[in-house]
Amino acid sequence: MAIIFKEVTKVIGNSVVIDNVDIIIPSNQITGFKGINGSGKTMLMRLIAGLIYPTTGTVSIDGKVLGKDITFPPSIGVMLENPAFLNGYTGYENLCLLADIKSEIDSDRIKEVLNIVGLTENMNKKYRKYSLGMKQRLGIAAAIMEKPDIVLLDEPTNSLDESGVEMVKKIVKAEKERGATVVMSCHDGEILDELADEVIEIKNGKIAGRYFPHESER
Amino acid sequence: MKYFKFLRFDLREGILKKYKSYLALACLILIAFLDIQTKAEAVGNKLTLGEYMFCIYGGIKRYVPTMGDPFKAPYLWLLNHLLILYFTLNYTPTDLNGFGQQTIYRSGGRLTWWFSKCSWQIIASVMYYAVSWLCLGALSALNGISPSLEITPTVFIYVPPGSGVVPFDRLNLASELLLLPLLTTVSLGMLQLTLSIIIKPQVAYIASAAILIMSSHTQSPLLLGNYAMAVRSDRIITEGMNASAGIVSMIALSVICAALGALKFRKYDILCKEE
Repeated sequence: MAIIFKEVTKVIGNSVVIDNVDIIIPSNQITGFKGINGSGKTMLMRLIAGLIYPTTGTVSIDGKVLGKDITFPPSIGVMLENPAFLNGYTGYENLCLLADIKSEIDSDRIKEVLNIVGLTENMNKKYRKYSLGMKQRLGIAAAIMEKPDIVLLDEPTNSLDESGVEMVKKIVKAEKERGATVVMSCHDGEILDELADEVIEIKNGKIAGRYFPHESER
Repeated sequence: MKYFKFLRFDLREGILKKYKSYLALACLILIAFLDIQTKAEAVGNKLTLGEYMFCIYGGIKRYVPTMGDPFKAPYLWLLNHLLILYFTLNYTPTDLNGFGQQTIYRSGGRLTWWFSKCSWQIIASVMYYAVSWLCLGALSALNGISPSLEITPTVFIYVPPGSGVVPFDRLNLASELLLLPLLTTVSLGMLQLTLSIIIKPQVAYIASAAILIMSSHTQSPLLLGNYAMAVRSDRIITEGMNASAGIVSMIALSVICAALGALKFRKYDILCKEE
């Protein structure tokens, strides 16, 4: 699913958080947003997810304008920074609650995805007892479990140890192989350079640069 | 279909899991009941269930500013409404800032989420009143109190009606004691729900509280709290509030709030608290 930002500006309160941005994210590509905290990466993610709409300009998914033709992208998995789950439920139960909304996947798939993110042993532990890294892993599991066409991962390596970062890399590559359009943000340029087909640098809500890390390999 | 999934979730998370708040309200009713019972027994009065309810939900007589008669707030009446409004204040904003962000995009539409929250707000208010009524019913049964909702002028010892009383021997105040306080909490809850997403939950709560306090101070059809005070009913005092007008006004307010909230929420920025 291709994502197109056309002259997008977003104003929240009195601040311009996204400033006249044009981006084309081709289908089945890994696109990385790079920038410091507060640069606007998360806002771009929220715009793609349909959680916020542009003040001016349009964001379209396969030609359909968000907020006009469609409310949310029809098939999307989102992990925003610091994903929120219900403290009183286990990791497994939290995913079951989310999966119940669309009723597209069964408990076997939920267990499979918990295994992919390395949470099988802790799936029956209450979420409130999860470490930061485990919470992050659960957020990633929630984003990919329904095999969505678009996967948004906002700082997926936050709070993860080395093995966790490797797990994220594996997942991102697997999602692309599956045919998904992956958009991830990261302040660690190395991870993006390794994974992304295109890296877009964001600064003060504007595009400060863009490059193709693997261009020479093509 | 997704609406019912959301509603089931809201009933579980926003009502069943909040059982402590229902216990707190039951405690308030218990304390109020014992207080009224002590006062009644001290002068040898036997009140009916309706009269106990009149003491709790009756409110206060119309305030006419005069020398030596300062305004006294109807604490019990206020506390009942304010507690329920407080208990239902944070559920929706908390969900929207947290887990709700993961559920809402999966639903494919924003309005499903919003109308589920409106339904939850109404059902939660009904449940708070149901618990209060059950509590009062049980206490009455245990103390051999008549379950009648009729009141006699004896009750005016505890809740004085002021001037212009309509003469009566016995009066059944079912709608004034059951329906109108509930509808007031529901409509103010809907106002609070809508304001909490348009402005802030704290501001929304202050607005609801201000309406209630102003209602107890000033008798006006524009201040909805007046309809929730049985002692200001036109069946009790000559220039009182009409129950039918109250019911229509409160249903209208609830519907307007749900519609305005839906309009606002269609383009609402769903952000985290920190953003």
